[in-house]
Amino acid sequence: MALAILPQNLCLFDHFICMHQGSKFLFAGEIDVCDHKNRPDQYQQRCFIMRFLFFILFISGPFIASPTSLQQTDEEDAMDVTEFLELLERRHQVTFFYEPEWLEGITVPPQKADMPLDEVLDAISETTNLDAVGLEDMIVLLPPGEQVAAREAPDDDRVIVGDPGQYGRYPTATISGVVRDGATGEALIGAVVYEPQTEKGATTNVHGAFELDLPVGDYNLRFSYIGYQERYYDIQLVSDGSATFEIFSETVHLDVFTLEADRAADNIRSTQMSLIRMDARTLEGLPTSFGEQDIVRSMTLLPGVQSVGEFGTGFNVRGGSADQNLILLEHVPLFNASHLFGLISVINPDMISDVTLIKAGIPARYGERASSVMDIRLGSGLDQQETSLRGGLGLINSRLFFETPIVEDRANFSFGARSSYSDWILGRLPNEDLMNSTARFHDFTARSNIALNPDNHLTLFGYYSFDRFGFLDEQTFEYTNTLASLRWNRGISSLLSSALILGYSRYDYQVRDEPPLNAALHSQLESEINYASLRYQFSYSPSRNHDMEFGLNAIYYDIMPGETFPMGEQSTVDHDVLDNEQALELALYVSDEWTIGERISAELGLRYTHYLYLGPATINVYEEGKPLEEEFITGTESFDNNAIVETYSGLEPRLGFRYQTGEWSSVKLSYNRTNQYINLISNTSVMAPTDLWKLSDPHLAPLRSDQYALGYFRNFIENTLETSLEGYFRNFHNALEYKSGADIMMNEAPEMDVINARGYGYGLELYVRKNAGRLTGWTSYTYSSSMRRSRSDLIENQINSNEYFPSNYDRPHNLVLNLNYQISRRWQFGAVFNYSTGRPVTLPEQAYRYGTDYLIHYSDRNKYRLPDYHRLDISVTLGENLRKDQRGKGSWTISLMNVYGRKNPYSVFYKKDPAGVGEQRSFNLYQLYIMGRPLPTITYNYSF
Amino acid sequence: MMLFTEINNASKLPSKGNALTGPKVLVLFLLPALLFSACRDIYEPELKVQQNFTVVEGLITDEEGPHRIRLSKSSVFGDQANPEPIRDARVLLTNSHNDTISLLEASPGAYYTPQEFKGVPGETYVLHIEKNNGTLYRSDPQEMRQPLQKDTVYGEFGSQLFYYESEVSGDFIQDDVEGVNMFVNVSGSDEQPPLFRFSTSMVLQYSVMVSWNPPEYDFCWTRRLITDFVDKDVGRSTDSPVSERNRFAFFPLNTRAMRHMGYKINIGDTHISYEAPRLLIHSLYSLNEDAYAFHEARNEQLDDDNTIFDPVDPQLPGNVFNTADEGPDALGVFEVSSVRRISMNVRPRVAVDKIEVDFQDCMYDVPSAGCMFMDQPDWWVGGFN
Repeated sequence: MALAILPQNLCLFDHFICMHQGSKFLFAGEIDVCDHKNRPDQYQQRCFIMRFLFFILFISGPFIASPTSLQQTDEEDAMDVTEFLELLERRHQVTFFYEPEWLEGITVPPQKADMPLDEVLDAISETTNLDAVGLEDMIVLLPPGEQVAAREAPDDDRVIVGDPGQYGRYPTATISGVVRDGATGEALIGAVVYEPQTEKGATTNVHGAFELDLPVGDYNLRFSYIGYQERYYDIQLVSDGSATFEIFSETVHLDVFTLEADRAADNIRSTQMSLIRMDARTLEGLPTSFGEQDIVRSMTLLPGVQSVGEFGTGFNVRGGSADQNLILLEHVPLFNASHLFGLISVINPDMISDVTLIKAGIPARYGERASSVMDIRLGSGLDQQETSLRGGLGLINSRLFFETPIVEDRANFSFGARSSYSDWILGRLPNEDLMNSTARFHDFTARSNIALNPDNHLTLFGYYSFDRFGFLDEQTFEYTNTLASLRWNRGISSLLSSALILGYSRYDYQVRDEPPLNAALHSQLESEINYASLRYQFSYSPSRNHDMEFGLNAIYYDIMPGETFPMGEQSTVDHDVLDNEQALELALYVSDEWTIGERISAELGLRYTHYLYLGPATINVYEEGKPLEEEFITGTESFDNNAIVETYSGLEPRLGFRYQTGEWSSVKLSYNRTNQYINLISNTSVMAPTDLWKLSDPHLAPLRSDQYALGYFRNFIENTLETSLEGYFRNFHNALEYKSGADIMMNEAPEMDVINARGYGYGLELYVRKNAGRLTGWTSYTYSSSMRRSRSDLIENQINSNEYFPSNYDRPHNLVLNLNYQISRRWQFGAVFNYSTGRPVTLPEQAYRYGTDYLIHYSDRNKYRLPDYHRLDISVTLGENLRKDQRGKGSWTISLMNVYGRKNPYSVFYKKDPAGVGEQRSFNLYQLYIMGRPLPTITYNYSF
Repeated sequence: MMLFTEINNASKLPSKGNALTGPKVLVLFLLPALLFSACRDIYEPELKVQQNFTVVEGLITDEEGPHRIRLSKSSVFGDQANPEPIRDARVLLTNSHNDTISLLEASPGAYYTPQEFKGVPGETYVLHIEKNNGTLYRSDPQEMRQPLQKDTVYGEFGSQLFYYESEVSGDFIQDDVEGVNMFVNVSGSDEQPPLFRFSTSMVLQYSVMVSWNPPEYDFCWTRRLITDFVDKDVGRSTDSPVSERNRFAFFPLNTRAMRHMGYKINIGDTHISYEAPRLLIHSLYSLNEDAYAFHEARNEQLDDDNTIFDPVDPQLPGNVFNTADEGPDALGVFEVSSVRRISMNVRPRVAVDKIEVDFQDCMYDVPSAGCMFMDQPDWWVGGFN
């Protein structure tokens, strides 16, 4: 039989495939994966024993004979090998497991079934080039090198908890446990512990600790965690006691999909809502963009997350602007997450180990931005025992990832790099303008993990990205991201641990303007933002029902808004510098995850932020009651270096509650307030690299956002089908809206061009995700609204007469369908369909003549919408082959983006068409689309 | 040959802070778009226009009348038809003493003051409009400010880029034209710093030989408005009574290049001789805040290339409001300005790197084009090329 149900645990150690007891798996498509390096030695010993027994049973026993090849026969005599195996199954009372594609087209003479089984197996091996591996009455056909052995019985993980002397004294007892990474010893936060018999469960806190009340007795506890192999421990609970439980990460991936039932249950049992977490394995299943996984683009396929189009940096979460998302790369914020102005994310997908996006109920340890937190962790743990190398060759860029242990189990190092060759492509295009243009990028990521001792871990991280873009040699644009961090994790006691994180991030850009015929205008503009942070965080579990987290966070901002230089001797451009801005943002926070009862839990948090805008600064003073305009400046006020110019502070409550309505369902609600002291001033509807990062100052108050969310979570079919329905409402205070015609570059007084607006947003998000089976993926539908309004009595500071208008990110309907189908062991098909309402735009509505000019009268702000957006992408992946003895392996991904060639308007603009001197100009509206037709790409990924 | 009337941004004089601003940066965004099959199409949205606006284009100066108030209707964007005039309206002008004059509709939608009417600096005027459907509009009181003085007028050699479409290939050709930039310093007072707009026209003189023996000539000229060829036609000073270095004109040294500015140049005809002097007529209007806000926004809108990532232009602020109902206010502006005009003969002397400016009289009323047989007009500046 080709597709079988395995009745008991089976471990194929050499290929690291694990199958669990009692679970129903399809052999090729639904097996779990594990890393044999993470297995304790005893497991390997047992596997060896089983292999030995198998050898005795099938090889050394009565079946010993010379192998005879199964000669393929004439058509009329031939039997399909699968039929032949079924014949053997009936005849010898055994069961074969194999992948049908391995045996396609192979025929055998039926009379060979009369041979002794061992001879037949040898012959099958020779003919099919597959090894036959047996366990009792099961025979697994595998590519050479694969071997099989039994997994140990769960009894072997038996743990006695408590003092045996106390046995029988109390009817119930509490297990106080810690769940750790079996390889690194690192405490695992958010691991799920579940006891099926009593249907009780717990989630580990920031120490990796949990507590579970159970009647004394024997239990079979299940431990699961994202990216880790599920593990059962048999527990004999005799009294209150503690124990440490180890589980092992799954670091070897076979392009097979794992039954993720218990992992999915995280969404039921965790108090945190509006959270999306993806580990490296899940990321592999994400749709590709230009042949590689793009974490930022993939996030926009999730409910409540949208982008403005196929192009443009950033993404929008629940109606917030792109700058309201805190994108943390190894704890350091990334100020521009896009290469080539949004085409590709700056994060090397090979480096990513885990990504978490939180849209609501943001924990108190996070702050700084109002809409969401996207926390990206890189690299793997210290369990990596061998040097590995992998990469990919795509149409636009290539990438490389290298990882090696430095000291076994103590230190490792990983490095990733990507580089584009779009410059090379441009140089060969049959278009002179493009030939004279440039577009390239590269990025480097390095990370090292060092275990000083079991209680002290250091993580070092560095990142650099570079983009260069030029058009016709006249203008070049460059921007870079530079990030670094140092994290020191320390286990102070079993109840207290700390993490000290130092971070640095810098984003800068340059624009060089070199019109070839006008050297007088050659100039360069530079701008940069520097960010330094210190976070010292403690995790403390004072009792079994409380997991606390507290700490401090200090952030220093230093922004150079702009400086222009003349370029060349003939340039007449003035040297001009805008004043630097600097500020300190200090935060104290505390939170408690409180297990109120078996079904009820809460997360209570409070964050206090204190913001100081520091000198040197020269602040315009405006006439009272007048708009902030040049003619109403009455003077200026100067401040010395580091003098406090303005302060803001605020309390940010963070609340979350969970009520588990059943084993696989729960209701959650949350509230959070966030203050944001840094904003991206943009006068366009899309986030551009040239937008200006601006600190809150005496004229620009910080953004404040409150969000209320309620959700119902329900899993079906052994947790393989995960569903949720979430609703939210949020409001915004001091959201920055630009005035019409605002000019932000080299603007000495940006407060004149922006308006502090209010706003609100609400939405309903339906999410259905299938985690297992040949067909996996998710679908989501979101209905949402995001509105803004000005509130000034001054007509100069009004937009649409203070009426509410849709924000640039208001796209009421959004539907996503993301499917992956595992056609066979190596072939995989993927499809992504995305539909959303067109985004709001302001259009020229009327024209009129004034003198010799034709002038435009615009509609109200965002009165119109672009046509609806929809697109279908498909891809086919041929995965790595199964031969273990092959050192280098590769996979191919062929994708077709925008299958039916939809011209989705990215932007609409009007253009004054050329006219003769003295003639009236005419106007036309244009829509620009990025992908006007189907776009095929091909990528080769390799690993060594 | 089709000419571009707009000047490439690169032609603008460098000024503080604007060298790298504007749409050029945004062109960069187009490159990946081009690479990935990006394209643009004409977009024809269904515009939800409930009604057209009333457009007021009014100018009252301290010169003798008649002064014109033109009323028309706006049209839906994309409709390039001539504006529909608003006829049969009742248009009144009142001053701060409640003196009222009625304007007469001399041609459809064009309402004129009596010829003897002359605005008085320091006086305040209000425009009243009653359309034939009864809709009432009234302007805010508009003060006519005192006239401004032109302290200094001077020229500098420079260059400017022009684009034109080749008749042969149809390609757009860039021409970097050497020429003269003209500047003016404008003075107001400490109490009233200058707030102004200007317009400049240039007269090109040429003679056409109609007979060799005896030599007989036609003396001809073409006058064109050239304000479009400078960055902007408004200026202000907030902290000084003098606004310096306002570029008000550019003209080429080479007569041939004047075709880029709309002049019909016939170089091949040996009977035609172009005069070297460039005669400029410059009008300086002293604005109040309302009029300045409108004209400044108009400049920004006209100057904007409106490429894909440009911000939406500012809505032009008007000063004529609907007082009858909840209907929309009028577009355009009712401008009350004192005006000062000068005319000058500019003589660039490249050899000595000097530009001479001679102020002329009697040139303000030069018609847009004409010829006089064997007789030079009074304002004619002598000397052939």
